Amino acid sequence: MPGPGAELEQEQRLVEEAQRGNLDAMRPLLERYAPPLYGTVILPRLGDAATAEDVLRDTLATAVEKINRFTWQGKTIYPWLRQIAINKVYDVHRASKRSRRLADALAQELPSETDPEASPDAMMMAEEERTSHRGRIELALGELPDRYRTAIQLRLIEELSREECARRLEVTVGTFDVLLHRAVRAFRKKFGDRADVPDPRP
Amino acid sequence: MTRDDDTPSPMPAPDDVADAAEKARARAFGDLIDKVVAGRPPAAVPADERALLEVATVIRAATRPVELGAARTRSVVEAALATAIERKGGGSRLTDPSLPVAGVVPLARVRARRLAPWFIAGVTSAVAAAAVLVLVLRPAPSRDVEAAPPPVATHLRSRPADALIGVIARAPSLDVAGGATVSRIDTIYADRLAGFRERTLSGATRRRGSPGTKGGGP
Repeated sequence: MPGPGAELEQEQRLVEEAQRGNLDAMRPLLERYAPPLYGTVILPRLGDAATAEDVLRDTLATAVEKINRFTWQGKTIYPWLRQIAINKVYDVHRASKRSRRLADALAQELPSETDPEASPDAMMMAEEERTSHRGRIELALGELPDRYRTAIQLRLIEELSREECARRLEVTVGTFDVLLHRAVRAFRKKFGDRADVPDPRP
Repeated sequence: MTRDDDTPSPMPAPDDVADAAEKARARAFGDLIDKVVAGRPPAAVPADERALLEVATVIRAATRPVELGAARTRSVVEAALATAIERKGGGSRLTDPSLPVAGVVPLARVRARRLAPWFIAGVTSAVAAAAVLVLVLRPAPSRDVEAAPPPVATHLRSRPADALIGVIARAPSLDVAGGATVSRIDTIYADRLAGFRERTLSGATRRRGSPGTKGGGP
């Protein structure tokens, strides 16, 4: 396993090779960064796994296609890929005419690729992003009634079964279903109401 | 997000009694969450539930690592590379021997499909050019090969007409040429008639086909 310095050198070499026309050189980079792009950038902003995969594919294709526009600045290519992904997510929201409140809420918190303070390590950036998402989610959860918060915590985060959730809350399974349904609706309103931000594109 | 965002309905408290419709929706939503938690998100979801399902997915994605999976990652990367090559017009080098993945056309096959029409057009053009060359360059049929007609015996030949009427000059126009032809035929006919009379009146035999009496005369 090469260290961060060697990894960065290898990444630079692959990028330069791709910019000379050998697009296949991009393959290792895409395979390395596809999972964090999907799990921390695209899926949390879309909420739909199938659409998120489509956006990921489109993001990677655009990156390959426009690799000559990327300028190596001694940092990983990940922030550039991330910015492409965020733009694609907004294109999806705009095309589907959905409310962008939820996406806006999650789109504003991380530095863009031009931020000089951005971490040079892609995986660290992804972890920072996930932490940031989690913080915002927990903040919104904290504003919900206790039983709503507990229902979401048990079912969606701890992934307990409906029966187990109902047992812990001392209700029937049918009542727990109603509780969770109301809890998610309430979370959605709280979370969306927190966001009133412009398009994050640079 | 769909309807819930735009409907300013008051949120019920946790302990409010649910009516039958709400219970049914809640049960259906619970079933959807079961599938999401099991890693089998439903392909089609009613619009009302989709918005809530997206919220649930966002919560899950933000609070726990979401794995795309190695196979899915390779599949998506392969498809992205193929898409990029298509968009760029296939002008770059892509030589990785990727494994065939379901739903993804291997790049080699994509290139082969792209080149196939050109290959067929090239072969067809070459065949057509070869056919034209064969037609143009084939040797002209030799006249020596044609069987020469057997020589006609002297006694079967008619008397030469040219000596009788001389060479008819080439006519500058069709009418003149037609007139000259008629005149020549009349001259020949008169000559033949004279020959016939001469032979008949001189007591020559009536042999058919004898010299100067071709066809037995008029």
